[in-house]
Amino acid sequence: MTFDEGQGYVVLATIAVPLLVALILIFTPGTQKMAVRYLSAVTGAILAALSIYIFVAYQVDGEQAQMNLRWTWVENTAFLGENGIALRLAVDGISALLALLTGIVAFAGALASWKIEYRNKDFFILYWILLAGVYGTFFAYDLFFFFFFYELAVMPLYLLIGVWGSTRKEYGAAKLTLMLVGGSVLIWIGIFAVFHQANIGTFDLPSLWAAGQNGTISPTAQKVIFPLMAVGCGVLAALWPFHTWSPDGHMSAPTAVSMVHAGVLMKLGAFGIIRLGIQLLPEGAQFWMPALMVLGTVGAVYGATAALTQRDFKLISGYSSVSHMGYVLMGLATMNTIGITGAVLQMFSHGVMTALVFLMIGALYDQAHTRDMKEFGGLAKVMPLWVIFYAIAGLANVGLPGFSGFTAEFHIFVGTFRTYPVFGALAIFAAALAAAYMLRMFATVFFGPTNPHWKDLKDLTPLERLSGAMLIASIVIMGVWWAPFIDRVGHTVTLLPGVTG
Amino acid sequence: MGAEQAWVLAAIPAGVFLVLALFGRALPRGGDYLGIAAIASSFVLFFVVLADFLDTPGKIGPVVNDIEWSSIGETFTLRMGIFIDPITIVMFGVITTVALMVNIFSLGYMKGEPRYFWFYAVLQLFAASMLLLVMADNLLLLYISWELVGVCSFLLIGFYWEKRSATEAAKKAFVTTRIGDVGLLIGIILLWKEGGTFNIQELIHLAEEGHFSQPYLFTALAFIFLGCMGKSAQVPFHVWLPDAMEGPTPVSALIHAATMVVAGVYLTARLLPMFEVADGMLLVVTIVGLVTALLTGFIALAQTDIKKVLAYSTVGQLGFMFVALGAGEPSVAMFHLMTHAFFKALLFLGAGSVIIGTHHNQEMDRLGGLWKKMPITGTTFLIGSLALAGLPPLAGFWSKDEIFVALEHKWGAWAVILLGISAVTTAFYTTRLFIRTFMGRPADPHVYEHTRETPPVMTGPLVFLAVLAATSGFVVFHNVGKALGFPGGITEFIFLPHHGPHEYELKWGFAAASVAMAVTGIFTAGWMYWGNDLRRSTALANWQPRLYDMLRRKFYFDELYQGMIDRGVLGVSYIVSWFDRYVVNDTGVDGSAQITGFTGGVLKYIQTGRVPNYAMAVAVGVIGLALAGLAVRG
Amino acid sequence: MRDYALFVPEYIACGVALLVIAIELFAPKFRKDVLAYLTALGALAWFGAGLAFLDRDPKSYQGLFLSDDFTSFFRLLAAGIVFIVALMSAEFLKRQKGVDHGEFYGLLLVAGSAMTIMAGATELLTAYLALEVLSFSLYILVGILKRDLRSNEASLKYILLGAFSSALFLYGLSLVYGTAGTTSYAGIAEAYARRDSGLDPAVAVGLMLILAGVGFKVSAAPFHMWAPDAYEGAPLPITAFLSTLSKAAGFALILRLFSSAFVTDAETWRWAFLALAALTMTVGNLIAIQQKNLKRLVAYSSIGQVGYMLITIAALGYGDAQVGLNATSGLLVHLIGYIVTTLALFSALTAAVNRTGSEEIVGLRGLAETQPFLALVITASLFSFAGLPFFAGFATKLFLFQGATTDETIWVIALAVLNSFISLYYYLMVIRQMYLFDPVGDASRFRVQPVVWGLAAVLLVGILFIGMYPGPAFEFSEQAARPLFDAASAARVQAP
Repeated sequence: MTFDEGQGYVVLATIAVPLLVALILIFTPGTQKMAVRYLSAVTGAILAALSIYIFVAYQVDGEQAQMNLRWTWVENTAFLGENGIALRLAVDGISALLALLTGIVAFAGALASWKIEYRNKDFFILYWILLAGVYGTFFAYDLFFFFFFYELAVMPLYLLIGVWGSTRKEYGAAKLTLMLVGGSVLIWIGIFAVFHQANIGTFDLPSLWAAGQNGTISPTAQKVIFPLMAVGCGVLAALWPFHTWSPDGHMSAPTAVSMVHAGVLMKLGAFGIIRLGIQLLPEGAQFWMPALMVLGTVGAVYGATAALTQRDFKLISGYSSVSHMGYVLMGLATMNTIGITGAVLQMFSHGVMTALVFLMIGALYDQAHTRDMKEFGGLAKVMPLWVIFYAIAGLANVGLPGFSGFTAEFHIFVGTFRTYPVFGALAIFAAALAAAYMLRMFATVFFGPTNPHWKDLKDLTPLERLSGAMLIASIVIMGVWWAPFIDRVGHTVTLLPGVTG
Repeated sequence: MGAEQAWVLAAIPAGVFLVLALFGRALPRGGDYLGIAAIASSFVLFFVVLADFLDTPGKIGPVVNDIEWSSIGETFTLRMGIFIDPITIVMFGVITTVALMVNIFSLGYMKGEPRYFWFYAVLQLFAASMLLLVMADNLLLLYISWELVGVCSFLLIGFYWEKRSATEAAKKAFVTTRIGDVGLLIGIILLWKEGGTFNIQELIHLAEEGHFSQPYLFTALAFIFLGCMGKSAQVPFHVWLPDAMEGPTPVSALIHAATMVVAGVYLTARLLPMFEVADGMLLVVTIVGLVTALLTGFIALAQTDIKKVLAYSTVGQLGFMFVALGAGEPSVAMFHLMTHAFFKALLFLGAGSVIIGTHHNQEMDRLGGLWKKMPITGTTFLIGSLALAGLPPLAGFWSKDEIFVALEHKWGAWAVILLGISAVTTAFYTTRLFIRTFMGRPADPHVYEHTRETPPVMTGPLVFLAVLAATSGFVVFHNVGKALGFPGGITEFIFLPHHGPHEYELKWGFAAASVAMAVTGIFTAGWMYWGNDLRRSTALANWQPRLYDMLRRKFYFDELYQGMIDRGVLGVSYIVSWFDRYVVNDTGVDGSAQITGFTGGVLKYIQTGRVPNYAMAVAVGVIGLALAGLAVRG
Repeated sequence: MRDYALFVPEYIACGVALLVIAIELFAPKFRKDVLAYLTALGALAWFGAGLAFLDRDPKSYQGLFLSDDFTSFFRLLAAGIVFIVALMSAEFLKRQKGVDHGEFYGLLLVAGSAMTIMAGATELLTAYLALEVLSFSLYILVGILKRDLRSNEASLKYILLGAFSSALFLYGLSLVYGTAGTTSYAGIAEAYARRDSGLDPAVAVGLMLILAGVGFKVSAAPFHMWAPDAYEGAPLPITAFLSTLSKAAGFALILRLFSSAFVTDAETWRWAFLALAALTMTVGNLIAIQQKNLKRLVAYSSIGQVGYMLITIAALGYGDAQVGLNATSGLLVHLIGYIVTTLALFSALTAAVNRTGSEEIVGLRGLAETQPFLALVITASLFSFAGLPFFAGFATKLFLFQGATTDETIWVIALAVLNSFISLYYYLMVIRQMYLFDPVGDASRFRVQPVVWGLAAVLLVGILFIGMYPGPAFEFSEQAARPLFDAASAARVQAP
């Protein structure tokens, strides 16, 4: 067993561990609430550790795909040829970073869910299944399993939101699930078409990528298929105008789910666009990216504008997510290394800071049972730590230098200006709007005279502090010393097909 | 340690900031001594850097020291580094000196305030970012620190966040400057797009080689200048600075008079060689400066809040500096920047001293005759006022005089006259301010009774700054510079490469003119307010109530902007949200779902449950198929 | 020579059937549920015997019946279905009044054997007879609840329409005979390969009539209308039986018939299958959204499933032998997944209905509280129908569609995928009842009879296994599909 293989098992562990835990939980009696909590907290810690290991161990001067692992699943049957379907896992610079994100957010989310009382066992079962799906999607190097895990990550959302959610939860849950699955349906059609076109009898992604790049998948076909993939994944990435699940879904979802969903799941969409769009259908990407750029920009400005006048915290974050994912799509649409690197960094950055935001919202909502901004004021007196954490998240959201948001958005802006100066300018303008809605929220909620009605709100619990601190740490590190992140991402991005230097 | 390690100046306060922010609450006295120690060491180290910088034999060359920060493959490499040249040196001097004074002053001023440690922590962060800003060798690093000082300003303006007004002011300041920053960032990236680098010197070099097309360069610089206007509160971005006076007074002295607000001036001075290359850019700068100086000069006439008056005067003086830059004279701009930093910081700290001495009164209408009660504050304040008014031999006179000279030389008489008017108003409101605060009969005996002179920890910095305000002007002279170890007066120290250094000589005509303006202002104000009785002024106000109201209401800028925000921005936002709910969501998403369900509902009724219908369906199906089959075959 | 040995498994099946009926006749006092287990045992034996026929060279009985892996595949399927349905019924029938258990179980076995014959038939009349045997047993089974009016009504409708469709089938058959001069598949193929085009209209009409006949069996729109009523009226286990066995049988017949006999003029019928597929899946799924009754919901969703499967038949016509093989393997593996899932669903449903007595969707309200396990099984099977990962449906549906993808069919494939998206909606509506609401009435946990529990558990494992490791099932399906497309096997089928 080579070293690389050995690491392959580490990668496998990120998927296997949560599934195993879910299995264990199924057989744990629902009355053992504490046991469930401890188990989940530990699992979160393990996942975080594994992810950090993977991120660190990824060689920035080595192969593209590292830590390979392949288990053949089905082959030489009917339309399946040599290694037709294999559980093939590998890490590249992009997935290394996103895995790190997943680890951190998963851990934070597990800690944040500590206080769940109602059927917390079932909650964590679904939670861990979801995360297994997320990891799987990031690491899958086989189209079948990519889609398998992609769906796996979406599937538990319905119950997670429907059972443990809050405002209009049934509507939010149903809408979110249906829209996301609706998106993956398009991907599914795309997969059939791709497999049929490539006609090499394997779901092995690298082989299919090769097929896409050497024209085995004809340019015409690519141009037809790309929109399916892009929109399909785009729905999950809150691509305008397929974003409306984001505000409602987030409004309904329980804290941890919002964290993981906005933090990690939305990134699956953008990641899918890289994997199934840019890498698999370069011709199609070249042809369609300008359209994506337009939609991305619209999303960025639109989301920021809509957020200006919202009153519900979660709606603000929901719309700002739309805006920030708009940046991600813009970055991808630039089709140059700077922009795409920026997009990937933005995935990470938005992941951690949104997770932090939702963590804070949850910490408040659990006590106050309202999320209407106007009802609060001067919370800085009552819950200072909460305010500081939230403020950091907010300022990162605004793209303030020193926080991850700036690093990412700066690269996106630069990349965009390369090809589309006007859109770049619009994006920067949207960033200014972000400042407006964030500060508006700060001013109303944090500052001003304290509303006596809230005088006995509790500040963050130790667990919330811990998870918050982790997220803040990653925000700041990326904001100050972003070389290690860029090295890994750039290592992969520079080799994407059809991407200009 | 040499000039290459100048980054240490910023590193020390930054480190202390972390300590204070994390543990300040626990430290005795909020760890203020740590803060002062940090600033003091930066202050000392500044001289080390200065010495090292000056003793490079022969011509003084800039000191550069940078490292690679990140790179995407080979395609996009970012370098971070420092660049020390005379301009930076001057800024270092100003920042460290004023920051130190303010830190000491705050020991008295902020005594017993809540979140005392937090105040000192943020002061350190500000000092660090500001120092970083002036030594950044590339526009990216500059932008980063630019934003950081903005945040510090936000935090300190909103320091008394329990007051709604303070919060609003902080928000206003941040967002207004942010709008400028959008321009700045766009400009930076535009320069990078054509120039392929963020390094300032390389960009200047490219510009001088004519690497950029004229309109392109103009556009990029115009965007950058937007940023400068925002930061330096030039019209129409000036509205945030007066509100920023909600912050603690030492903050106003440090951030909103001496250092942060001059960042715009600094950046323009830094990029002046490019501005010169771009046709018309200098004219833009001049006009912005002139307009600002004029407008705010008039507005200040009608303000009654001490700090507000000083704020508007600051904006006006910044206008002066831009005018100097517009005249293509960075040395003059930096010169005025320095002198202004000293006497305006003095004035603000003086105002702070008054506020403390009178137990938080800053309305002229309730002050008066304080000189007897607060001799030191009064005297130093007088020195500051006269310096601001531009009386020789005080610092303000020399720098202002230089500005007039440069202005005339570049744009001719018309500009000088316009700026002259502003100079007169300056002298006027300064005198008014001084008389109504320190002379004549007390407007409010009660306040007067309880007024005490402030402790030495506050008056000390006043005295120190007063000395500087009085003397710092002399660095313009060749021999003074030499004596201090400089290669001569400021004009021989700072200069544009292709202009070269030139020794200063006094132009008597201009000197007389500017003295005349100052005196005019002073005497009219004296005549009108002498003894702090307001009959004449009220008469004047009643003679032209409209005009007076317009001045008092600051030419209605705030009302205008508020209207624009409410009707414009928020209006659009409401529309978008509505669109999102009702069009995109309810119609687009839910609608399609409903249609699907509806079709199902309709189809359901085909299922009648009656056998004949079923048989009918089968028959229809068969016949349909058969016919179709025939068609296909036939 | 006549190779009677080919039918040994069916001898067993029918033997047990007779035995069961006899016991019912001569020992009325005999414990009824024992009959169920007896039947199950018989099914097991049948299954075992069926295993012995795997991996053998194809053997033909008089050119009427061909015993190859394809036949064995469906034989095993039939045995499996009968086994499970029998166990399912044991508890269920106890609660019903006036049911003749003997007939019930006997007919299960008979129907199963009939399905085998349908799969193996290589001659139209044989196929027809088998089809009728199957239908008649089903008519009775649907109406087995003598005291239940709905059951009677359902049975009656089923009989009338069934007769109608049989007539159509028979007429089509005669037209084919008239044009081809033979009823043996191979003969028909040869005849059609070299016929003069004057006969075409007759051929076309004949094929369409046959298509209608089998379309009725698999309840393809517009021949589907009997299905919801029959499903609703029939006792729950029989609903399961209908939606698994009779569909499987129909496809067995169609597959062999259209891949051998009519393969030579595919362009006569392939478009029809494509059209039927599109129509069926859309109608099925759209109407399912509106259903309140569980059985009707399942009926419509299974109609949707049939729609997906029909694409495969069209693909047979559009592609060469290789495509045919791919498509058929896809179809077979999906059949396995579909059947396992359906049976799991029904075993859980029977358990739930035994408790609540309501067959409405709202009857499941709060099941997650009162019986988490059943809720889990139901959720799993519904997600499996919807084709979500971890569950059989994901893999098998993917194989089904991928196998049937050709340049011509891909548009219908896209439609199918969209349909399976619609289907998710009404599955969620069921899941919603179980998880999002609190139970009505007493919220206390209730126990499930061990047999049904075990049954559900095993089937759940089956769903998960196929979903996560579809390899074996897929390879088995391919093995079963191969004989249809081996030129060799076709040659062995010589007329007597």
